[in-house]
Amino acid sequence: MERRFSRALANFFSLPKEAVLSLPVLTFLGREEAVIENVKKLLTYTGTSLRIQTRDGILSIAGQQLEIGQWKEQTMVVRGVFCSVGWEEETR
Amino acid sequence: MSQFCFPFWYLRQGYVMIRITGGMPERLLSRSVAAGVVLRDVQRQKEGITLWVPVGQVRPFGRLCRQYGCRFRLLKKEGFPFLLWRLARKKAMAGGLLVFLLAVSLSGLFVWQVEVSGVQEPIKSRLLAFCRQEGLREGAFGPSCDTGAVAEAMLEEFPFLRFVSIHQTGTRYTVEVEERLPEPVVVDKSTPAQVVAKVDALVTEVAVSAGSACVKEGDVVRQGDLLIDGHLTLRDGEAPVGETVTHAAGQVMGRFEVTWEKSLPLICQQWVPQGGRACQLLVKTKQGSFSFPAAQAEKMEVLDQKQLSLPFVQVQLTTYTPLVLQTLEQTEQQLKGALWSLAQQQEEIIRQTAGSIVDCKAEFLPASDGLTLQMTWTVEGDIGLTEQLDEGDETKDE
Repeated sequence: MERRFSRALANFFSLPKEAVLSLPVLTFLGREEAVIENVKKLLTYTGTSLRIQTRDGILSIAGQQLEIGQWKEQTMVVRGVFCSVGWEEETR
Repeated sequence: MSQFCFPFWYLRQGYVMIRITGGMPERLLSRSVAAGVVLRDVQRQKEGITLWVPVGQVRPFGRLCRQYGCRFRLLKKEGFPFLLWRLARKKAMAGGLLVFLLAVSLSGLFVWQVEVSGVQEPIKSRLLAFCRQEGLREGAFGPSCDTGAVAEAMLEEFPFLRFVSIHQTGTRYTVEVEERLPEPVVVDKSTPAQVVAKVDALVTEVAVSAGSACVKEGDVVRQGDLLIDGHLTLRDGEAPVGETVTHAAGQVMGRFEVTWEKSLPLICQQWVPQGGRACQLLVKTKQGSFSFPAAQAEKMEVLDQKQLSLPFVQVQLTTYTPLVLQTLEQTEQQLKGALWSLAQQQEEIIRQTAGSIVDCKAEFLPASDGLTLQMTWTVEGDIGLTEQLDEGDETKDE
C-alpha cells in the first residue's frame, strides 16, 4: 500500500524514484567495476558470485575475482570481471 | 593476496587487515555495515574472507564476529598512527625525520629564485641587478625582504616603467613589470603650415604630398627659405578665382654639411689606482646603514663585493683599491686616437638624427695646449621643417 502510494507520488511530482522508493541504482564502469546504491544486505559472496538483497529483489552478479572494493552505508563498489548480472525473484 | 591500495588520505586514520573464517561471514558483513563499520577491499580467499577495517572500528567489528560465530585474525596494520608508533621505537630515525622536516620548512623561508617578467633583455638584467642591489636576491631571508619598498624604488629608478608588482610563490619571487608606452605624436594636419629649409643645402629630391613646391632638384637653398608653400591658388580652368591655405607636407631631401670641432690637451688629470687593497664592511638595517671603517677613499675601484642577507640585516663586504688623481702627459698619437674615437661617436649621432653620410673630411690642427680635430661631414637627409602659417593667412576670394 505504502509502496504504491510512494510510486504514485513519485510519478505525479516527477520525483527521483531511487530516492522515494529506495530503488537500487546500478552504475557499471565497463565490466570491471560497478557501484550499487541502496543495498540492503549481502546474501552470498564467493570469488565468482555475489548476491545482494535490494528493495526490488535479489541482484545476482557472476564473474571472476569478484571483490568488494568498498562498502559504506548503503553503497557498495564491486570490482572484478563481470560475466552476468541478473535479478532473482524473492521467495517470501 | 590482498594488496593495500587505498588512496593516501585514507591512511591518515590507520587501517587493519582482518581475516574472518567460519560462521556466517555474509551476515556478519551486512550487520557490520548496518552498525556503521566501513569495509574496504573485501576479498574471498581460500582461508576465508580478508578485508580492511578502520582502526577505530575494529573493536565493534570484533564483537559482531563473536556474535555471528566467526573467528577473526589481524593480519596487517597500515596507516599514519601505526607509522608513528613504529617511529617512536626508532628514535634516531624519528629525530632525523624531524630535522629534515625542520630544514625543509626553514629553507622555504629563504628566497630561492628571483625572476623578472614583462620586459626583454637587456632591461631584464638591469631590473634583476637592481632587485639584488635592493636586497631581493637568491639566498636572502624572505620575511626581511620588503617587496613593496623594492617595487617603489624600482619605479623611481626606472621612469620608463609604468607598473611594478612583486609576488611570492613559495620560494620564488616574480617581479612583474610593464613598460610605459611612449605618448603618440599628434600631427596637426588641419592647421595651415609651410615647409622651410632648416639648413643651407643643395636640393636633391622633392616629393610634395600637400601644398605647392617652391624648389626643384639642383636648387641651392639657405636656412629659412620656403620649400613647400601652404598657399594654394584656386582656379576655374586657367583663371585664378581665389586662394586657400593648407597644411603643406612633403619630403625635401638635400645635401648639406655638418662641422664638428674638438680639442684635447696634451696634459690632463686622471683618476688612477693607487695600488694595494682595502676592505670596507657595510651593514644595512631598516634604521640606516653603517660602514666600517667609516672613512674611505675619495674615489675607489671595486675589486670584489660579497653580500650576505641575514634576517633584518644585510652585510656587504667590499674589497677595493683607492684611486688618486694624477697628472698625465699624453703623446700626439694617443690624443689623435682619443679625438678620433669622439668623432666616431659624433658621426653615429649624425647618422641617427640627420641622415646618411655621403662624405667626410678630417683635419688635425695643433692647438696651444694640445690638438684640435675639425670634422666636416656631407650629409644627405630631409632638410624640411614644418612651420605654422601666420593667422592672417586665410582663404581669399577674388
